[in-house]
Amino acid sequence: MAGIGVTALRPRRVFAWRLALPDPLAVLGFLLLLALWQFAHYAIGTYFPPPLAVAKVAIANFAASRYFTGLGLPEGGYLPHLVSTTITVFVGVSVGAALGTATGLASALSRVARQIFSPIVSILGTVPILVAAPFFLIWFGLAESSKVILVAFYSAVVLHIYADRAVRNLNPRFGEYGATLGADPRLTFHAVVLPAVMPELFGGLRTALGAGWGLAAIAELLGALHGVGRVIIATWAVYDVAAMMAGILMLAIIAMAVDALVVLLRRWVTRWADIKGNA
Amino acid sequence: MSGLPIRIEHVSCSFTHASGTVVEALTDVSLDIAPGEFVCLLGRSGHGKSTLLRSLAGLNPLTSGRITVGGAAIEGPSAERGMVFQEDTVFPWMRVQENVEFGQRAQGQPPVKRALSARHWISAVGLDGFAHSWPKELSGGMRKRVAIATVFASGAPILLMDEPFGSLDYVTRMDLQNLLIDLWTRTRRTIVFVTHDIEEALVLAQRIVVLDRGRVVDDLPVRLAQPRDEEVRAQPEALAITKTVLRHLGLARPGRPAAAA
Repeated sequence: MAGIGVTALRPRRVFAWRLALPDPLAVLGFLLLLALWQFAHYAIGTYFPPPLAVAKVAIANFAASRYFTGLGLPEGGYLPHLVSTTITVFVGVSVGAALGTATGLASALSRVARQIFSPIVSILGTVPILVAAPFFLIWFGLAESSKVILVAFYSAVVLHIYADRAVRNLNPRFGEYGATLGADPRLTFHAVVLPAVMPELFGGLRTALGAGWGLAAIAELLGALHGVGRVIIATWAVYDVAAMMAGILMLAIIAMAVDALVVLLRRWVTRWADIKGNA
Repeated sequence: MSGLPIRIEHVSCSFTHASGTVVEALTDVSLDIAPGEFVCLLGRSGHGKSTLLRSLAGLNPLTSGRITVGGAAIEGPSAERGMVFQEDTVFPWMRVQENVEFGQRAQGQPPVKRALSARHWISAVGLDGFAHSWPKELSGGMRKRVAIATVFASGAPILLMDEPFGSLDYVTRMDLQNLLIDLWTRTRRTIVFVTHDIEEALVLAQRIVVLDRGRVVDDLPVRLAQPRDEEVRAQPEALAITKTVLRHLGLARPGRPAAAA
């Protein structure tokens, strides 16, 4: 009768919300970085301010800064710039990732779509993104849109490649199994293909996001009204290295926090997958 | 359960390899399978068993000939022919219950009905208490049980199994063979089961079809009582089948003529 062979095993819940407690090794690495930084200050001198000096500048000019307005920056210290860069990355990555995922999935699933998108992506993919930045500034102006478009452009290319590859690497047996159970292409797409490619899509999202912060900042360096890159350019003019570094440091902290959130989200979405690589 | 007769008529199938050589996987295969039969397709690996099964599933285009199910020529995969693969195809992103419901979901059954049916089949394959587990939490044998529950729950009158127990250990394989026989006895669905294991075919089949180099070379009825334990498999009739099959596989010992079945 039924039940043969399944012995004393009982269902177990494997997924647990492991809080993102800092790994002791990561803490050690962070301390090492601070030590190196401090040492670099002793070695290089004034133009490499120590961590504490940078932190002081960051705090003193965080939400309001007469010093910044004196340099020709808008009111409000670092805050509006951090917000501007963060919004740039969020909007750029969201729009780009959505577009790239759509075209990537379409390319993998439809021959016509592949013929349309594949040459476009191969050409766009070879354009060095930093070389593209000045063109975006010329075409879309100094407003927020040009840096958003730059980030979106890069994210779209990355997600297109990840999505396309994920679908094409999918074991064809899954689709065949679904088809013999009566699944039509629509059900196969949303119940088989989409969940199956989620781990890869999250990989692409993290790559796009990781690069997005840098791209946004560089677009701002080249010319923008707001953004951490703008602060860096303005403080560079007066050789205020501490203020430059404070901007980068705060942006890095935001980027790390966002990445940690994405990792948490991925862990939940792909909780069905093997733990490996789910760090 | 009333089923659909399968008729395979002069089916041939050839593949062109990357090197350009054309390989004939099936040559003029004709076979009738009655509703409710349990047929094993037996043969050496690479001799067309899986190609024939995949053709039955509608996953493999034929070069010539045709296959009809209940009188209608098959055109691609369909919910009337569920398949269990050798590979692990249980969807890892669905819990056991969702997996087992999938066939009925594809056929547009209402959620309550398919949930009840899934519960029934989960229990029938001995996975009570695992409905909400993820496949990764199960052993390979348990995932096979999920796949079996899924094809039975889908309601397919014809079940195609491509060496489903090939990757399992001996004990698990025997458990699953017993389970399958039990489910077949209770439901009388048509089962076409590919294996290269004579013993497995003797345990399961009502009928053994032997394939050699893409041709059907023998079609042996197995009139042994169930359950087919070692004693039953040691009866002269069973030994005769074994010898015949071995001869077809080119494994009969020389100097000792195989007994006629």
